[in-house]
Order: sequence, then C-alpha cells, then structure tokens
Amino acid sequence: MSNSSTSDLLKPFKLKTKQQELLIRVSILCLVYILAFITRLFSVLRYESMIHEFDPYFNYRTTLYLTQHGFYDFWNWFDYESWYPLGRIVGGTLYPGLMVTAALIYRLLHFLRFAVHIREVCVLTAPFFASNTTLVAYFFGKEIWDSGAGLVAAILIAVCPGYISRSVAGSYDNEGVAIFALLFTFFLFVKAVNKGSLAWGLASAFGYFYMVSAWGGYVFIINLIPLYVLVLLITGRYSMRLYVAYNCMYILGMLLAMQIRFVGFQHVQSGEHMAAMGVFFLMQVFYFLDWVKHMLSDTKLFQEFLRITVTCAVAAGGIALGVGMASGYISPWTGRFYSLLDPTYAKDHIPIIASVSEHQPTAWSSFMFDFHILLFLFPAGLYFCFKRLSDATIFIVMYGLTSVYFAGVMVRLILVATPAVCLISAIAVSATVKNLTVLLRSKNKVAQIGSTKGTSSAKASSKASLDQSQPFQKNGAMALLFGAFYLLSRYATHCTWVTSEAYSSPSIVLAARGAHGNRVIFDDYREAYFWLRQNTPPDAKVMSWWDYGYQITAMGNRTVIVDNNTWNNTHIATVGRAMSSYEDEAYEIIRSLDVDYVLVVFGGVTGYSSDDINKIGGGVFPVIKEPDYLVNGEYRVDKGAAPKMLNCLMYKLSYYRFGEMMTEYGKPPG
Amino acid sequence: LRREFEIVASSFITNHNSSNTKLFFGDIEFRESQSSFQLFGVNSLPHVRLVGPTAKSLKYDSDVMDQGDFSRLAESMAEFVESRTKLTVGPIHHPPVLSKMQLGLITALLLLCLPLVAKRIFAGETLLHDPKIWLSGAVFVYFFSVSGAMHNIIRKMPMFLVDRNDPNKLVFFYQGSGMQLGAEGFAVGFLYTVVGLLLAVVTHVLVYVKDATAKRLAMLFTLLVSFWAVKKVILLDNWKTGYGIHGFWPSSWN
Repeated sequence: MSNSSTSDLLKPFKLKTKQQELLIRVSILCLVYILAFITRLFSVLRYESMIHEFDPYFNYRTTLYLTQHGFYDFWNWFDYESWYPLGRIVGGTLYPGLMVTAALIYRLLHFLRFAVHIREVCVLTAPFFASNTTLVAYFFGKEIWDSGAGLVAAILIAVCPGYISRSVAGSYDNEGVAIFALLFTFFLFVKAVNKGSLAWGLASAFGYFYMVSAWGGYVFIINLIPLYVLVLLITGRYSMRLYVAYNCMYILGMLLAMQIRFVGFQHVQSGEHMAAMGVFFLMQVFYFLDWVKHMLSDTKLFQEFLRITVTCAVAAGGIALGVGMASGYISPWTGRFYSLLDPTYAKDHIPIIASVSEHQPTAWSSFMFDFHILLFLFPAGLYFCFKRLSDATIFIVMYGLTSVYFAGVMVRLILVATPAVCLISAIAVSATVKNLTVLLRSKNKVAQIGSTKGTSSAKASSKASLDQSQPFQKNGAMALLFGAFYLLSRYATHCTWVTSEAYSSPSIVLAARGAHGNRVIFDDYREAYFWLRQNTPPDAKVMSWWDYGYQITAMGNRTVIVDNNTWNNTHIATVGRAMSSYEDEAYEIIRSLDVDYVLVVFGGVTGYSSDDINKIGGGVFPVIKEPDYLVNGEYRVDKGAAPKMLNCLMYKLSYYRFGEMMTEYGKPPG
Repeated sequence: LRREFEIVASSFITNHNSSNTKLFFGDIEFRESQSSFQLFGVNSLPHVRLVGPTAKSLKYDSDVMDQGDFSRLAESMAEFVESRTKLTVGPIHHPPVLSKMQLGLITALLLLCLPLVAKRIFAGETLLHDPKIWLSGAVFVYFFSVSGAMHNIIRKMPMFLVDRNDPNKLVFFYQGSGMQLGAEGFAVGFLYTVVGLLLAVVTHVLVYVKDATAKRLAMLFTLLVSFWAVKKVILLDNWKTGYGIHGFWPSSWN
C-alpha cells in the first residue's frame, strides 16, 4: 500500500531516460563551468585581487583609457607618456580584442547596476573565458565523436595546467581570451564543413575575426585550416560542403581581419598568409574540374583535360608566387615564425629571439608537468580517430599533431596544444569507458538472447562461450574502470597541485618564509610606484630599466623613457649606457633625456637577480665594454670590484647608504 | 668547429680584400705535428688560441679562448678576435644551405614529375591513401615531439654523460627539470607510446582473436605493462624535478 502511494508521489518527478540523460549532462556542465572558474582563483585568495606580472599592466591601462574616453579616442590614441620623447602609437600597435571584451563586460555589468571597478573585471576576465572554453570544448567533442567525449573534454580542459598557466585570475593577457577564440573558430569551421551550411561558415568567419583581434597567434589558424583543406583534397574528400565552408570563411575572414590596423594588409602581402590564398585558388580549380566532369560524359577526354588543367594551374600559381616574392610585394616569413619551421635558425641568426626564456625548446619533463596522463592517452585517441575517419576527426588529428610538434619546439606553445591534446585524450577515455560499461551492463541481455535463439547451433555455441567467460570479463571490466577512475583522480590532484604551487604567483608581490617559518610578504614594487604617484610632480619623467615601464605608467602614472614594448633598441641602449657609465657622463645623458627620477630595483637584501644591462648598452655604444666591469671574469660588488663597476651610476644608486643597513641580526651592518 | 673557423677566416679575408696582413689564421693537426702541440701546451681539444705580437713564449703568453664561448660558433670566435686584437673581422659570410646548382636541379625535377603525381592523386591510388601510413606517421610525430627530441637537436645534447665522480659509470638521466639527455628522451617517449598503443590494440585487435585464454593472457599482459610503464614515468618525473605532488586536504582534518 505504502509503496504505491510513494510511487504516486514520485510520479511527476520520474523522468524518462532521455530526460535523465539531459539532466545529468547539464548538471555536469554546470559543475565543470564553476570548477574551471574557481581553480584559477588561488592567487586572489592568497594575496588580493590584482593584476600580475608586467605585460598585463599595459593591457589594464589601455582598458582603463577605453572605458574613460570611448572607442574612437582609444582607436586613435597616441601615447605620449611612454617612450619619452618618442611616444607610441597605441591604436595601431596592439590587438584590441581583449580590451574591447573587458570594456563590454564592464558596460554590461554597469547597465545591470552592478557598480564594479574595471580592475575587478580585468582580473576575472581570464577565468570567465576559461569557463566558456570548457563549454566550447563540450560542443566540439560532441561534433567530433559524441556527447560523452564532449563531457570528458570539458572536464579535462577545465583543469589542464597547460591552459591554467596563462589564464589564472590576474593574468590579464591576450592568451586568456585567445584560446577561447581559437577553439571557437575551429569548432564553427568544423561544424560548417560537416553541415555545409552558409550560416555556420559566416559564423566561423566572425569567430576568426575575433581571434585576429585578440592575438598574434591567429597565423596558426590561417595556416592550419588551409593545410586541413589540402589534406582533404588529396585524400579525395572534396565535397560541396567543404567548398562552401572554406570559401565563406576565407573571404569574409580576410576582409574582416583587415579592419585591425595592426594586421593591416598582411593577408595579401605577407608570406605567412599565402598558403590560405593558394588553397583558395586550388579549391576553385577543383570546383571547375568537378563541373566539367559533370558536363562531359567521356572519361578519357576528361582525364586528358584533367592533366592539362592541373599542370597549368599549378604552374600559374608557382609563377605568381615567384613574381610576388621576387618583386618584394610578398614579404618572406618573419624570423619569429620561420624559427618554428627551422628551429635551429634562431640560435644561429637571431640571438635575441633565441634568448627569450619562453622560446626555449621543450624537455619532456615540461610536457609531463603540463599534461600528466593526457600524454599517455593521446596516441590511443589518435588510433581511435583513425578507426573512425571522418572530416571532423581528420581535423582534430591534424590540429593535435601540428600543435604538439610546435609545442616541442617552443615551451610557450604548449598553450596552443592544450585543447587538441585534451580533445583527443577525451576521445580515448570516452570510447574506452563506453566499451567497459557496455560490457558491465550486458550480462542480462546476453543470457536472454542465448535462451531464445537456441535453434541456431552456431549462435548458441558462441553465446555459450560468451556466457562462460562472463564472470572474468565482468571482473576485468570492473578492474579497468577502477583503474581509469584512479588515473583520472591522480590527474586532478596533479593539476590542482601544479596550479597552486607553480602558476599562481603574481610576481609583483613576493612571498618568502621568515626566520620563524612565518610568511613574509614583499610589496616593495607597489609601494615604490605609489610613492612615485604621490610624491612627484605630475609631469615628472622616470628612467628605469625596460622591465618596469608598463608598471610605472599604469600604477605610478608617470612618463617613462623605455618600457616592455622594446620596439626601439637604440633608446633602450641609451638607458643602458646611462646606467653603466660614471656619474658625470650619466648625468649628461640623463639631462639630455629630460629625466627627473631614476628607478632602480635592488635585490641585495633578498637575493633577487636580473638582466644584462651593459651587454645591451654595449651592443649599440662601443663606449661600454663588458670586460671593464669584470674582475677575473666575474662580477663582484665588494671592495675587490673593478673601478668602473664601483663608480657607475647603477652601483652608486643601489648601494647608497647601504652601510647603514642591518643585514642579519647580530652581523655587522652593510 | 673547424668549419666555423674556416668561415671566420674566409670572411676576414673577403672583408679586408687581402690588404690587411696583420692577422693570420692557421690550424694544427695532431698526427702531423705533435711537437707543436707540446710547444703550445695544449691539453684538450677543441682548442683555439691567439698569439699576440708581443708574446715571447707560445705557451704562456697567448690567449686561450674559453670552452664556454664556443656556443655561438663563428660569431663568438669573431668577437674573441676583436676583443683581444682590436681588429674587426667584419660581417660573417655563411655559405648557403643548398648551392644554386642543387636548387635549380631540384626545381627542375619537381616540375617534371608534377603532372604524373597529380594524375595519380586524382585516381586515388597513391600510397598516401592508406590510413595505416598516416597513422604511423602521426604516431611518429607524437613520439618525436613528446620525447623532447627537438630540444636535443637544438641544444645538441649528448646521448649520455660520463659520471663526474666515477668515470666508469654512464649517466643516462639528467636530474633537474628543463634539460634532458638524448637517451632519456627516447626512453620516455617509448614508454608513452607503448601505453597508448597497447590500449588501442586491446580495444580493436583483440576482438578478432578466437582463443579465450589467449585473449585473457593478452589483456593481463597489457594491464601489467601499462601499469608498470605509467608508474615508471611518474617516478622518473618526480625524481627529475624533485616536486612532491600531493593533494590538499582541509586543514581541520589534520
């Protein structure tokens, strides 16, 4: 009696299987969305909500300007407060996507009457877009394989350290938004190729436009997609859907991309974008041939025609390219991207590019650190994709392989490889788990079939053998499932640990352990900048090394001589020369630049190391000779140091009144 | 290194138009002139040395170039010369990778076989159409990247090092994150690939095997090997980087 009443009560809540499935999926996606956001909040909880590092301060300052002065002034902004006396044309030398996005979110929140400060919006933009990336990953996985793979992909990408490294709260940099735009563009394009609809092609063009406005890495998209189209053409998968999708995306995307002043006419002039144009023309040739084939009924004639046309077309393309490159209209590949194709090029020819720490080649421990077990699942996923070849799986395989190869060349590009690795591993995990659970749940059904189809002897015997091995199979499947679950939980632990220890330091506030184990926080940078802001006249000019330029303009609100944009090497070398010369020479240089204050970062008490100032200064001004500062080939700062070192400006500024400072308790001062 | 030395010498000559005879470049072969080696007091190779005009003794008055400065090859040797002798070498002329003749030959060959290749592609018969080829290519690219082989190529890391304390032992694995040795990269890449491919094999190939015991044995083998490989890689990674990765429990539980 009570049973029926409770079941009557629960009747409106009883869901059909499809509805149950939908509920599970939506709840998982909501939880993953929240997870992706909160795992990036370590530094906000430990320190406070502030912008990290150096480059994001420039982005923050431009966003501030945008919200205060509007889009027209921002787009035409000439910044006279940095690179004094040269100034900087900001509107034409940045990618506006990030700033415009943050400003739009700010406007929206204000419209809904949430009076937040723009800094909070900037700090939390990256985690917000990381959560959106997980949603896009779900839809992408669903497009390539099925919804199970989509869910696993969303989960994996929510915590993957490779992505977290550049999208923690406070890391207000282009990559935070760019990875979302990258995955979104790829998803829309693959959807357009699968459906063959013009609407999806249009959407992918707009997605590409967003990507171009957000990051210089859009070159990867504009080369991967033509390569993918070429592979499809070669393997005989040409179809009308591909034609519609690629044409729409390329033409519209190119036109839209030219609206960004920083990109300008590169889509028709630069060698890096020529692959897309070449494939575009090749597509037209394919379409033409298809139409001729349709019209002609004689195959032999068609073969002849085919051969002649292809030869002519390729020859014409080759000649056009040659003429373009020879006349200088099409510029060759820039050093930055050329070093990806020929990795030994940078080391021999452009030492500046080779010396940046982010551009170093990757050791396997860096891969392990950023991907953990995804590396093991990657080849399995590759195999699954090859078993079920379709236009979409070919795309994800190509994206995965090219991005993993480039990640091996440069550490920084692990970020670009992360979505591909997560997706392919998700396919492996999802397919395996699906097989195992099917095995686990199939026990009853097989027994039934075995009893009803007893007439056919062959079938009965096979079913009987299946029944016999059933117990082992079930146990094996259970063991494997537990193994998979354990692996994934280890992955989650690893990711959380990595995020907490390695990727959550704001680097503008430093922390250390004191003598008694208590935590000591060094907020010296911000205190210094605020001192500048409050105690110096508003038109004062500050000279410092270029690392701190963005921070001084953003927080100290004063004009600087050089900053992180490093577009003028001679200007930087002038500053370097001033820092390394004797005080009287330095005074001449400083007066000629109109400088009022000099900022020096000194790490003598905490053990903080920095850059090679006299190398860079000596590169332009031969007056500065590095061996003058050395004693027996090394740098010393005590009494035995070289006289040039003891008397140069930097040394004097750093060690001013150092003798009065106590270093350690009980030891003599200075 | 000798080729780089030749490049520096030839650049110096071309830049000064053979008019400046203040600097001479020479090289000594050990088998031919052992006594010269002793004169200079050379103990190890490679060895680059500059003898100034005022040097009285070849062994003590000449400047030796540091081993560490060889990294940038021709450019660093030119800098060494400039800093010690106050003579400029001028811009270094690197010989091009492919000579003009070779380039012309390659382009001609390509143009000739282009129509043939295009026709076969359209017919769908080429080797490119077999998915297995693509699959092995894909796995190779993966192996190459993930094992850090690019890092080894660019930095020219050796396969193994000799242990500094015990010259008879060889060190295959480098302790410290960010750098790796040649053999280390290959070993780790192999372990990764084995696990991934075994999983794929078990799911697809094993279904066709008829014998139940064989199937069970294969499964067991795969499980054990995968487990061992993953454990090995994780142990190796922890040893190499020194990180102690642990979960975070609420502090009220301690």
